[in-house]
Amino acid sequence: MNNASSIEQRLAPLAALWQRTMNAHRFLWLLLLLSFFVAWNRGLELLYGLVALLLAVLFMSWVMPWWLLRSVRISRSAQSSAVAGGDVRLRYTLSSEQPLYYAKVAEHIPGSNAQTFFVPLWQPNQALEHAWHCAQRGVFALPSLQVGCAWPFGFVELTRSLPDSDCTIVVCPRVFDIGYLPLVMSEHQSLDGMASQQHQGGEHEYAGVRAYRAGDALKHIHWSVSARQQQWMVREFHQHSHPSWLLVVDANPQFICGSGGESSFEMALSIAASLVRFATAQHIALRVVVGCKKPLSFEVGPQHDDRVFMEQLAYVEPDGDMTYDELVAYAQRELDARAALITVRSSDQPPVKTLGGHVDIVMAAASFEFPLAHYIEGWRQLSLKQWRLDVHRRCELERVFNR
Amino acid sequence: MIAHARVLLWIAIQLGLAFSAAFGALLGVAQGVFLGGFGLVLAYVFLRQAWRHRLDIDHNKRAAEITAALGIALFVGLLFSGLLLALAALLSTAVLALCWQMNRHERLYWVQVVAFVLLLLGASEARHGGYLVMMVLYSIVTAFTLAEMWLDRGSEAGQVLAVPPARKRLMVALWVMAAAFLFYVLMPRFPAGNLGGQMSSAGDFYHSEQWLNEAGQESSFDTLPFSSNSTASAPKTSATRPQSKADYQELREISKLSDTRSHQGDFNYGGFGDAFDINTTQSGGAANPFVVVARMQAPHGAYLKVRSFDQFDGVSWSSSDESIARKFATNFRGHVVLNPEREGTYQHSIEIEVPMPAWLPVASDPVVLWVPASVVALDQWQQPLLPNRLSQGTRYTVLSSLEWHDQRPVSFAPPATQNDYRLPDGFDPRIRRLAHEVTYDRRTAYEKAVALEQHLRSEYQYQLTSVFDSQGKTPLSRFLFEEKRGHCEYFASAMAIMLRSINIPSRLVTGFSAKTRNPLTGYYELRAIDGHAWVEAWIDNRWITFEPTAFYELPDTQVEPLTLQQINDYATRLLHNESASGEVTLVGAASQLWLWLMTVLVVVMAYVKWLVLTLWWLWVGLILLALGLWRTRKHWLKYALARLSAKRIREYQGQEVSSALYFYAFHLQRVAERHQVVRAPFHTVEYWQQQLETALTQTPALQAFAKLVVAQFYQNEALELSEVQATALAALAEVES
Repeated sequence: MNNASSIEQRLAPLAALWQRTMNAHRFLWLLLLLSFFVAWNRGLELLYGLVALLLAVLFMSWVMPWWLLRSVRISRSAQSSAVAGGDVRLRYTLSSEQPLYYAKVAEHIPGSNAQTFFVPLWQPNQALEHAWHCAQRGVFALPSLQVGCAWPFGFVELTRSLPDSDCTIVVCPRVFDIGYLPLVMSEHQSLDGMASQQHQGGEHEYAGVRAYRAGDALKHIHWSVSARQQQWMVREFHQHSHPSWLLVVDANPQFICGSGGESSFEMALSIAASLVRFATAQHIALRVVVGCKKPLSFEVGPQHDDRVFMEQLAYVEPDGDMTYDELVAYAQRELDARAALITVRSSDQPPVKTLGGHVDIVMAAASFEFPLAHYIEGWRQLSLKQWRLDVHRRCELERVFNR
Repeated sequence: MIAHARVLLWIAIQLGLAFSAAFGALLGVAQGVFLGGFGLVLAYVFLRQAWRHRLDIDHNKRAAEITAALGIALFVGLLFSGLLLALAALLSTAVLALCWQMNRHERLYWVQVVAFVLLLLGASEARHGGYLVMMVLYSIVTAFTLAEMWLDRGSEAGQVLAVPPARKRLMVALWVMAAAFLFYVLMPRFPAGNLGGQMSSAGDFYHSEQWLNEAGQESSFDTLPFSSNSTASAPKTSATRPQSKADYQELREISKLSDTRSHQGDFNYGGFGDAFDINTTQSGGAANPFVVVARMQAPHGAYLKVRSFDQFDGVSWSSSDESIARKFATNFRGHVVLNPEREGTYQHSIEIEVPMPAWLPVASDPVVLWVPASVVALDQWQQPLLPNRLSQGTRYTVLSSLEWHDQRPVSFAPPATQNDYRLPDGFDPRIRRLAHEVTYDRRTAYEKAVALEQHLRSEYQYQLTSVFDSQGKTPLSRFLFEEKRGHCEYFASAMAIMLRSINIPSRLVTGFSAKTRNPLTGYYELRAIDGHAWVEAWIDNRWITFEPTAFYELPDTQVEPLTLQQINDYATRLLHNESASGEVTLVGAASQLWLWLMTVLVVVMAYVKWLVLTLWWLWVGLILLALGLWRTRKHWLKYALARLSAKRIREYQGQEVSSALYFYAFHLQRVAERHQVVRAPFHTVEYWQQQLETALTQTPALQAFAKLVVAQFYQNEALELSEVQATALAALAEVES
């Protein structure tokens, strides 16, 4: 037993070398060489015939993919925008005159490893759709499409780059569900916040009933309607003085920690996108400001489709030149000074001073360098109007925002 | 893991074919078909079972181990029947064991490798071109199997919805066949390495206790082989006659071993006996002169000697000394060194297909032998023989010195004796005069011999069947001065006697002219018609081979490197043989048909060869030109097509509006391509016209043409052909501008 295991151990490097260096194509060449040696040694025609057969298999393995790929034309288009961490669907149409067999389509989606899909039979003018994983937010002009062909035996796969197949994909920031946001109010607002929309009061007017959502006060449940419809229903009121939020995202590259899809900027955008979805769903007025070179600003209202905002967030680049203080001041001055402020900054940035309602989301800068260290996370109420949320790179944002 | 069960059937068929081919080559066609069918069923059952239990790895592993263990037992059991058979059985069971282990996709490829090795093993043993058919079938099935295997990879295979049609895969197989054929005929052949290729085997082991006892002892006779190097050119006296009872007993035994008459179905060429009559002897000692009596594997053709004769009485040749000179015991591999003083350079393996006398056909001079016998003897002429007549399936290997002088094989057999000078009783003096006339201006013995050889080759006609009745006692005179035609024994006898008449020692040698190399198998085929007689003359202390029969050519020292040329040679040779035979038999008719087909092939190939070899510069030039034109087609093709289309538009005389519009639209588009405006299949004519308008600024006629197209095909308006024609010509003028 020990001997057997020691032999296996001794042979392990050899086996690893074999696995690393040998593939079917190389093995075929090796077999060809050995067969030729046997044929030469015996000098028999039938053995030479088998050598010729191997040679023909190799020859056709090279020629046939080349023949099929020589005039291949494929157009591609994105079917919709994608979300970072999700899939983007691309549509491919073969516009060549001859079908393609054993084709492999390879895409290099930025931020992801090269991905492929295999098509055994692709007829002319046939359209195929495939979902590709997108790891990173952004708007990307995809590099040339790579099409491989291994017809007919799979021993040789030739690849051709198709430079004419332009395609741009829009990858929106990653979005997570938000179930909780602390109640804060601006210096000009009465007590309001996420749960305040359903408040019953003198300035509120009954608007109807709707399905219960997490966070609704129990006192607003409409018991008789709930009993009739067999689900929780709540009364809804029009609010004459809407609460509003102002979300300011820093885009100054000097204060961005980490890189690629794992940077503090991407995390801030992900939080912003999630807040946009939350505001849309909760009918909260939210104004988003991203401090790019040309600051991005848009307002989210109850009737808006959040996809539009997501795509705007997909386009932003971390190229701002304002400090975060300047950006916040600019946002409050130019846009909505009365709104409760949400700031998303790295811990390297000094805190923003404001007297009104303020939710300060702080990303631990060191966590983007040393993600495995221990970092604090969670909510802290600093004052009646001011809350702080500590997050870090490996933090599960959905859990934190659903405490 | 195999994802689709359908690949199993392809693998099973492929394995069945491999089994059938390999065992067919080793055991025979019937056994091969049976074992192939059995293997197919077994492989399919194993694969199906393995597929059924594909999640139960332990079950499949156990089954694979049992199969492998059975294979080892089979290997050990069959080892005594032959190493190759045992190896084939081991490979077969190994591949069946792999069938149980399909949980990893790579193993499918290992199955392919082992099956290919099995096929390779069969090919190394196959003696018939029919094996090529099995190889073709195997290749076609392999093309399907490999295609299926590539589809059947891992998780991706689960997504397969549509696969390439069978027609396409068959096309691939045919393309592979075509490419393989091309490589096969063009692949150069190098001289065989023969590393470890000295094989010997036979159904019956050749053994003689008496010979074995006598092995190593000096002969009781005066003359011993291998003395030629030390012997002067002066002829020795004739060997002594047997004196004792033992000597007579041995002579009787030798007569029995060399008997060519008493065995039905054997190869009974009289020249292999102890004496033969040149009148009754004719080439082809079998019912069918084309039957293959032996096969030889060798780097090139050779004259294989069997018997030598030094006594001629005017009608019959015989040997003055029938005694055995020496006997050698072989080692356990059947290996024996006959002549340690000489170096072997020509290795050839021969397999006997039709039983024949005990003398081994070998190229001169044998140095080393590998024979399936315990003992080997050498006659007085240094020719090896076994203790029994050669039976079918006997295979032996010989390493000969095979030296050459002026493209002629040379032998260092025992030197000439008085018998090699002796003329027959009643010798016709005209023969001597003829010999002197032919050789009067030649100075050396070699030149004289060559002159005689050339005279016989050029002035006399070969005829396979005998034209003489056996009553005449002076057949040579009739052959030389009256008939001037006959078979090889007449030519050889005439030359030998003419040489003797001018004092050049000579003798007649019989054997095989091994020159017909089957280009499909690589074996030289020794047919009955190849049983032959020729002459050796003692010149400059060696026996030099002469071929006086014009029908035969001395062997080349090398084989044609290209298969194409080999096929050509083979067909020519067969045609040559056929022309000499006047018999009409079923086999002969089949051969004729085959030869006719081969002739067509040869003619076609000869033309191809001529075209390639003589006009190669033209082909190279044309290929380069075509490549150049192809590479630069973007610069000239559309202009050329535009000119052509413009010409066709001008010359067109339409009969019907609809077809005329199609015609004009097609050719106008071609002309327009010179302006970089290409109409895609989904572009309307109006869109195309608008595109063209941006390139040409003003296109009223083209606009009118587009309207005509729309009116005809979309609004069903009746149009005048003349209007269409005029508009099209005007549009052409615009596009050409």
